[in-house]
Amino acid sequence: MKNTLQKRIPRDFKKNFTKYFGMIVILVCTICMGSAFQTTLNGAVNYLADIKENNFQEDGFFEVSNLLSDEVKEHFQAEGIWVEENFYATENEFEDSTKILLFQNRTKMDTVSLFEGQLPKTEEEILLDHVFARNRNLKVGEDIKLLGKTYRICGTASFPDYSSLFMNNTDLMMNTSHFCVSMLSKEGFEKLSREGLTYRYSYRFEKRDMRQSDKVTKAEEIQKYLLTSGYGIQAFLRADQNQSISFLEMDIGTDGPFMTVFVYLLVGIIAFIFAILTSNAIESESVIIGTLLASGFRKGEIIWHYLQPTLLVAIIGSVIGNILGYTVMIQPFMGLYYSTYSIGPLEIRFDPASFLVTTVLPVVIMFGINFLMLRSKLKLSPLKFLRKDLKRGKQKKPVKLPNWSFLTRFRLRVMIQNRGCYLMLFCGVFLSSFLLMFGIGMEPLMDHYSESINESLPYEYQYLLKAPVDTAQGEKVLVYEMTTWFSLGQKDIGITCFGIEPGGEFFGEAYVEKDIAISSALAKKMNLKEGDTLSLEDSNKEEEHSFTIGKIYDYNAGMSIFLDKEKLAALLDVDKESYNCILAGEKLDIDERFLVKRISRTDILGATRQMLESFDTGILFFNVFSVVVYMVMMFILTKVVIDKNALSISYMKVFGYEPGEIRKLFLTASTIVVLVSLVICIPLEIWLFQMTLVFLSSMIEGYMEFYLPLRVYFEIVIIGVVSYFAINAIHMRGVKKIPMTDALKNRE
Amino acid sequence: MRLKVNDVHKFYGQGESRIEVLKGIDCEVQDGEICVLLGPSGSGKSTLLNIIGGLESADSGCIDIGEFCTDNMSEKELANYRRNNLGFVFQFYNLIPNLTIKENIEVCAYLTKEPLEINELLATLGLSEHKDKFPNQLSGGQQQRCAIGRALIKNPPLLLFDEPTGALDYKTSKEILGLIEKINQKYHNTMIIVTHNQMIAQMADRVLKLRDGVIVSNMVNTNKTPACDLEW
Repeated sequence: MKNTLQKRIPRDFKKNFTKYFGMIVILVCTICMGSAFQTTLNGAVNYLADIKENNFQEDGFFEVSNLLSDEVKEHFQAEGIWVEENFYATENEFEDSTKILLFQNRTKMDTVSLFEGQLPKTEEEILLDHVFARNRNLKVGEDIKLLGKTYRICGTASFPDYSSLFMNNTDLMMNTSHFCVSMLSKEGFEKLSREGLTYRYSYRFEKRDMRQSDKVTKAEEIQKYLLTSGYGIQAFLRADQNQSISFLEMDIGTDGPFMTVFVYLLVGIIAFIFAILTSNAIESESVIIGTLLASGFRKGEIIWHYLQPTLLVAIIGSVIGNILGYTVMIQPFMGLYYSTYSIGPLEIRFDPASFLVTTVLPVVIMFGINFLMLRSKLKLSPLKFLRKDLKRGKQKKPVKLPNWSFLTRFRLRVMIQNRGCYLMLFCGVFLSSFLLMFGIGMEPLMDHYSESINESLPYEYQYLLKAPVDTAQGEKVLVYEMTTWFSLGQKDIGITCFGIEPGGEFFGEAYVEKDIAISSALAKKMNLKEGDTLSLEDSNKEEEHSFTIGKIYDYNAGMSIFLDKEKLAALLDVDKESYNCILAGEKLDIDERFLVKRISRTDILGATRQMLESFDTGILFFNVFSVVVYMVMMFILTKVVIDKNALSISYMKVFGYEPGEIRKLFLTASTIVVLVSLVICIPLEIWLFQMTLVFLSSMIEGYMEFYLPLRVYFEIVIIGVVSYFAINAIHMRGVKKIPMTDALKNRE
Repeated sequence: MRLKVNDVHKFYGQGESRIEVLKGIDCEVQDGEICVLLGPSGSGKSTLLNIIGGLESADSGCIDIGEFCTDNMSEKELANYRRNNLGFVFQFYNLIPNLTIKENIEVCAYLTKEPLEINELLATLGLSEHKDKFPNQLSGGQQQRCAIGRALIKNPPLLLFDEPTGALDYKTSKEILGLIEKINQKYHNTMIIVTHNQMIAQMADRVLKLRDGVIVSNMVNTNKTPACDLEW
């Protein structure tokens, strides 16, 4: 015999369509976003893995002044190192000061992934990087003039050795508009003048399971061998040092946790709403449950019955969410990657692990929370259900109210009677307002972060030197990189040690004779204060140093410490007069050959912005979804209050109350709770936001200080109020539909 | 199925406010009997019914029903006891609003391997023409008929009625009592009816009168009055 109770479920869905539809909408949004993002992310991860193996991505490259001899090539071959010519010519003067590298046709190593069009076949054809082509609006079939010759764009592609378009490896930021890599056909490349060519050789180890340390050793051996063989090395870069290769992998690493937090926050909200709905259903059907239990139904059977709507919503939401995620939503997410990184067409592949994270786990969480809630509720005896006595403790006496007006007392009674539901409403307002705060507040927060760096940056240029240069300008400092253990992020973070002198033009205020000064960003990130001890590790020398903090210096541009230059020189065992960095208020004329890196204020601010934008993925979706979630949640929770009071509303109608008066009695109580919740939740949201920032800061290099302009709070409250009143209008229609016969027929 | 109540005690509250609501109840109800539990409010009749029905446990004493003894039964065993032996009918019907009359009855058919034939039962209950209606489309009497059908569909050996006519008017009450009588004759279930209406006792085989937690009278009715002839 089939369980006839099952027939209730579709009828319940039909009757409470708006509630279930709302739940499905939130779940679809969550799973759709989660699966689209995760699939894109996996696509990018798979792409990185694919290009390593299928496109034979290099393990590094070197540039030499002469062609390698056969003997050298044979030596490398014997050593298990595959070396491939990767020569290129450079066009420095394409429109708008753009630099374009023209590579020769790659057929073996670093082979390109075609995005659009075809590979160059004739000497007039050229293949461009697809991000640059898109940003500069260059279309396949158009002509482009480079190095005095006109080429026809035959296609766009991504280059495995340039997934991030860094013009120079020392640059702090990518340049996808003024830097491009391209490829010519074999014939086209041979036509180029040999004089302008750079002899780059890419290498790849034949043994593919080498440890990183072995790769480093092997790279050093390559360098030594080249030098001893008489080659002048103009450049040498391992893949892990090459930002054009390694940056994307690092960025993917920071995007994942951010989205996971968001998805699980939404799942928490959904589980929470479901728990309220189920709890409400148990309360309103307590007599039915009591009767079923008295008739011999087992608690497990009842739990299963009330779990099924959750399961159905979860299944419907998961199926639609995944379908939309894999078909519709994936395009904008992929677009975000395509517009930033030069990666090949990402393959949409069903990934069981992503499905587990974005669909199975959320559903299990929802299911689990509801199951626990139901199990807890059903611990009561059948008799308690029959008597509608679902309170665990002793019955409380009615709260005595002052002799206020009838209307006030009635509203207070509604609030007291529905206090559990209003508490849930408060939690709901809190969670969804937090989502809004996160969505609306992220942009001003990022701007403030950039601004604080801008304000605290005392210099305009920082020149990191290979060797001392003869200039009287700027403040000469000694810079050295160490690391310290960041327990919150469970990782080592890089600390820049500035060896400075008293009265310096830029870091003069940071000088302390004894001890050290630390940057305000470092102090905030690691919660350090004056008098604390900071331990730094010098991984090059395998030494550890402990310093006492004597001063916190207002500097937000980095995780830095400042100490006496002579002391740092002594620690590093170098001459006390030596320096390797010049800070300047204006651009200096320093020969590029002596430079490791030149960093300008614009670079730092641009890099900061770029780093923050890596969190930016989906902020737009985030805002839209926040409002949707907010409204759905508000709708469901306020509807629960109305449903619970349907009988009382029916009585009021029988007594002759008009809709406006009924609204004042029942809905105004909800309005007051929502408005008060909106305001008093703000401090809680600020606290949670600060906690989230601590978490986010643990994943990035810098420290993001909490900052929200006053307008954000107003916007949250205004969106809340407008949403609520829109929902209230819908509820009023619902209240009008409550029949008076409910009161007349009900025999309770 | 013979029902035996053995020295059942039940207390409510604690400390000074502890009250003994059942003070050692002993009684027997024979197989197929209609037994009416009579008594004023607070006499303990509903508590006794709940203990017999396994909804409450006795603080001492036990209920023997056929091969079962409710003493020290676990929650699961009590659920099985109710599932296999009992049917409950309540004063306010407690029907499921979004199931039809037929479906409300079928809910409990799921609990047994050999339920009664549903259409025949609907006919017995006089609900055949209303079987596809929802509870709120029926009168109180018709809803109570449905509640009786739901309790009866499992054909349990013991049917428990808690004030089955308490929410009904005179005429409808008589109809319901007539139905109970008819069912007893047709299916031979043992029935226990809790009521404060003395007149209903006239249709019973056995009348137990309770006052302040004790049985003050245990009377076998040798001169039963048919339900249709009851007047009050």
